[in-house]
Amino acid sequence: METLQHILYGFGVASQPINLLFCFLGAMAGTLVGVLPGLGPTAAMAMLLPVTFGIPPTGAVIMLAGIYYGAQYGGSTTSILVNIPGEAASVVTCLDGYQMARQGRAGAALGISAFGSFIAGTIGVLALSFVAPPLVDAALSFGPPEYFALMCLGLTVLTFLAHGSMLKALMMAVFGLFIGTVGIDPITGVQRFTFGRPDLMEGIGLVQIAMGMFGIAEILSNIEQTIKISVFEAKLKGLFPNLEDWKRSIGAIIRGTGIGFFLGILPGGGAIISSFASYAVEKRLSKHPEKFGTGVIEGVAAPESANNAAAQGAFIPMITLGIPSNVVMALLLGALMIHGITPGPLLMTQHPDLFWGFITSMYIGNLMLLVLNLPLIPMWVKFLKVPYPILFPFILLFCLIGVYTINNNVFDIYLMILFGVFGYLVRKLHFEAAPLILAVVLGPMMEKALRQSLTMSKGDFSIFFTRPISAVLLGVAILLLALPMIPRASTREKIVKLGERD
Amino acid sequence: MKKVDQWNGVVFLIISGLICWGSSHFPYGNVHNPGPGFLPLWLGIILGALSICLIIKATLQTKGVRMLRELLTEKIRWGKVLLTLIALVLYGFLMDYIGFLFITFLFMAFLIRFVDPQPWKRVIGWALVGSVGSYLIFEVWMKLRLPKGFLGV
Repeated sequence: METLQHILYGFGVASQPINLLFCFLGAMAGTLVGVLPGLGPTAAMAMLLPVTFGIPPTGAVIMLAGIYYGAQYGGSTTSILVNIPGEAASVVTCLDGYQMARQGRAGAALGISAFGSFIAGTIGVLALSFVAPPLVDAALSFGPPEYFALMCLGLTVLTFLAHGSMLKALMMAVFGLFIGTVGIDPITGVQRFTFGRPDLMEGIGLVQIAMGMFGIAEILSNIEQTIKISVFEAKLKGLFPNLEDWKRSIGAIIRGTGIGFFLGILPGGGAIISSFASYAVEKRLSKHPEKFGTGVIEGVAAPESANNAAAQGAFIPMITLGIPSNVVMALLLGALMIHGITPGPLLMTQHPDLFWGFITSMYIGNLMLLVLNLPLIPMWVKFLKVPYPILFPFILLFCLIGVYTINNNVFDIYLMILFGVFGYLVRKLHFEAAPLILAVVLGPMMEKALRQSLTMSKGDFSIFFTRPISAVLLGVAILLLALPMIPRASTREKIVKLGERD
Repeated sequence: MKKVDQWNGVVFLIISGLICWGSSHFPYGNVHNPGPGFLPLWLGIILGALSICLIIKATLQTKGVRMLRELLTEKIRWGKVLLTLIALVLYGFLMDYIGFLFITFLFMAFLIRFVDPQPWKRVIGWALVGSVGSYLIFEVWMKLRLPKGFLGV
């Protein structure tokens, strides 16, 4: 009953006109960036983060949630219409979505992805409101060793699921942890790796890194080739899936939601793995698995619902423990911290308006996408038709303004360019950027937890293995690290390949 | 040393060396009470170990290896990438002197004209849309303080 009250309270906060406006603006802006080729939710959040700085915290967070959903939805739109996934999570949507578009059923594909996301969002938000409060209680018993172990696990899972070499993903994560140490040491006040520059004293900002590695690097990779986008010239009509479509998709949507939500809770998991997993499950359960990949609607409904539900699930470790489980959550955490709010078990009691307003605004954001964004699809398609040589200077300009306005400091522009070049090069050399970004955010938290744990135990490392929760978490992390080394039992490759093949 | 990952390993090994060297300037503390140099030093050591693993792995691997030659002979429009980077750096460098409105116009015009050359009419048109439009949105409407430069706009 108490939960219901909280949800109603949340709706009260989220449906204030000003917050509705922020939610709407976020969803629109997010869709706009998400529609642009190669730019997914991560890039959208990084680029639009500075816009939210001048807004009160609750509004800012609501807007960011809108940006996230909008970008995810925009990504599905490009997957279906152009066969270009905005980011890894929508790769699966391309498989059947684009085929549907080629058969003249783009409308139904876009429609079911929006409805699927909405249904998943609805169930997800309810599950979140029931699961979060008891977890908050559990989280209060977490001490530094447990936090440290959980963060280790999160980073390990993310590198485990990396597309290329796990070794290289680990290297990126370690390098990211190092970048996180730049700045003033919070415990002793010593300046580390700042080269005497005052701009570096507070560390290297997440936005500068994320915008560089996801925004600038993406543009540079696109410019190096002559890219031609061919938008599928289909008439967009019939956005409402017909009865037959519904019959075939509803099971897929429900299963996708379940899979997505639970995989989303896992640290390091999230949207990518859940969209692959739900697609694989549908294929296995289907009476006609051979038709997957030729434009079946279940193949769009399942992953789209799953990645939306995963997004809700991913909020759980974030709002209860204050630990981001993926890059998008990391950016959100960065945004909260800029507003002076530290997510964690105390968030719910200290900022109930923000906590519940945020949870319900995700729901409202989904509704908004459904009601307002679906009819706007033809407009988004027009954006896709803007030639890239004209489009990319605009994207760059937006990155430049965004990063400059964080501190009104040109130095941030140089940092962003530096990380853009770094991101471009490591991409060419087949390294992944995501583990680095997550590590940059977790780095300072991990260091604090590690040092506190060692102080607690008077230098005895066994503290991590004698406390049950941290022992289990670290055990899983070590197992994941060891798996790829065991010949034949390359489960990781199987999992990653299964996803890619399907 | 003909494989890409061997070189990747070497570069990161050098980076890890630099990290260790840099960390040695801060107090290490001890295990009971780790100092500011503790974590960076260990991160440097771990990164070094991983880099060595990568070099060994690349050296032993025979199938599906990316050779350095393949990477270097890839058809990449390096010139365009370089032009874009120069434009970005110059934007940061000149912003405070020239002012947001004009530097943005020049930046947009330069990229549209020289990266994938478009006709001048288009160049001027889109550069105007980009610069004036963003000025109106960010400076006039959102009141973000963008640099004014010597012209005062």
